[in-house]
Amino acid sequence: MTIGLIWSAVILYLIVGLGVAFLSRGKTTNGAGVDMSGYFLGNRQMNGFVSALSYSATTYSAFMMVGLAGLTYAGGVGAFGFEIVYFAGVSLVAIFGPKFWAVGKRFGYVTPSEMLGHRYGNKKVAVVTAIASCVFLIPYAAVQLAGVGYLLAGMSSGAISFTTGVVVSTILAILFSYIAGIRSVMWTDSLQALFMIVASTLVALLVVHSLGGFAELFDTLAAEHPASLSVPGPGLFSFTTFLGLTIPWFFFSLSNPQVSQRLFMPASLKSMRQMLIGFLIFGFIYTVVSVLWGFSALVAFPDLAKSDLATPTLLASEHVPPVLGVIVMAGILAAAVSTIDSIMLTLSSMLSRDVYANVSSGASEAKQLKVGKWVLPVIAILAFLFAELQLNLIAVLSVAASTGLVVIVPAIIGAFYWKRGTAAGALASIVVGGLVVIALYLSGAKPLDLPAGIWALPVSVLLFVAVSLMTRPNPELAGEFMKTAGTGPATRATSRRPAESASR
Amino acid sequence: MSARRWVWGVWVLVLSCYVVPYGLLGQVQAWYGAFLFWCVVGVLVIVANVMITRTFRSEDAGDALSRNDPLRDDREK
Repeated sequence: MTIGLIWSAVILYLIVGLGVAFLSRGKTTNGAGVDMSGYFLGNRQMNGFVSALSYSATTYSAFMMVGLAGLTYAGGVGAFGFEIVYFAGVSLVAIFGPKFWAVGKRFGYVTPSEMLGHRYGNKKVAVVTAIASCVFLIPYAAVQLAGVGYLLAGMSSGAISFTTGVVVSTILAILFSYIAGIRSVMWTDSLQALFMIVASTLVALLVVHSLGGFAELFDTLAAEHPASLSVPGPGLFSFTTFLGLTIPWFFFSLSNPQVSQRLFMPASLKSMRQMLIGFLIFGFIYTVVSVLWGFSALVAFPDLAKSDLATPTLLASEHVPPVLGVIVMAGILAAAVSTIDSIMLTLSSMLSRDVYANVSSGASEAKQLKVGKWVLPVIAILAFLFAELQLNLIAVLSVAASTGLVVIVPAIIGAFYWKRGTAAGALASIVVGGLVVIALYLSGAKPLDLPAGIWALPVSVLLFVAVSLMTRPNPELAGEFMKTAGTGPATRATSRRPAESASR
Repeated sequence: MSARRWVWGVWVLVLSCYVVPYGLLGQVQAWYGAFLFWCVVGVLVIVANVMITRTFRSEDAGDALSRNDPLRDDREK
């Protein structure tokens, strides 16, 4: 694959992406009276189709075509099961989505952490949730950036340096999120999602065809790699490993703020439905394609030294024409950038809304927005530095991201369904639970021979319930919140008032 | 079938993602084993979500919430 071809694809992607980002500018994000809700939530007026594509592009990162394909290569069909359990977990959007949406409209929330701080009547809950999200998600974004660096370096045989790849993706993520806030993120995400799904599906079909078709592919697997078609298979997906991976990912749609914040944005519940169903259709296709990609690599190149090489090797092989290979490379770049820019935008909204506004007196909406816009490139530069340094701690935090964020889930579910839940309970579950996860990953300890992914949720649930029962709840705040969400006692239809951000 | 029952259907599907491939299909090393099973689960999850959200409309939150909370026992059956 020539350097010229790779750079042409990157530059074309940059030009089209920037064009879409500029066209997405509107009154809500770039007008005179733009506020936090306008810039970070698109004034809660996002339509279903764009929301679906953007939710898909944000959720699915470079992990799918590189990491999941590699996991399939190394561990067989168990990788598919892991992804399908996550996929089923997105059904939580159907249950919690309307509740997030209703309380967001009623109380004017911009971030999920702000929602928790208000529900539990304690700013510290918002601050701690925002900081915990940064601790786990900035390293996660850094690893995505590093992934682009490795991809470009690998495909150009080192002619494009690792640093160049990281710089390119950092600049793209900053521009796509800064130009028009959530609107530029969602519109560029939509473009990138379409590109991701079309390019990867076409090329995967082409590769499967060149290997003799689906029947031949699975016959070869059954004959030469039979263990790859069952679990535990070659050994990677033992039952406890499978549990440890799937439990945190099942709650991804609630625990990860870059996607749970999306539940505040649809213009209506009809739009939310379109977002959910559209995402599920996209996700199912993309998952099957990524798994077939991994199986194809296993059949075509069964002796790779590392499973991470499955995708680059397949792309550089005779099974994929160079032009299509570079298109898939751009698709993987798009998958990474569309995840990173959403994470950066959400974290900047959390740091300005939940940290700056809570520790600084007189932090008006305008000042919060200004701080948020300043914080955005700072987060990007932090992620860039982490990617460049490639510290062990960053790698550990990145791997621990899904497990670390699941400690927020008890406080979220409790906010809607348990009136007795308190701020102290939420703080204990998030702080202590998060520290337990980091300690387990750093030490490599496996109490009772179970991985951290299995321990995180029960530990945080136990802390949330026990500390809540030992402390005094705020029944008025809890009652008003749950009444609005439709989960309070003896309520059916709830608040019909328009958004009342003044009530905060 | 009510939204609540479809939600229960999703929980059953999730449970089956662990029990069936690791139990019943542990020895089936072919495309019609765990691969086909998880494919079918994926499609059924989409169907369940279509059914759970079929009353989501362009309307006020209150009306929708009163109909759509699938975790309440006393909602529409």
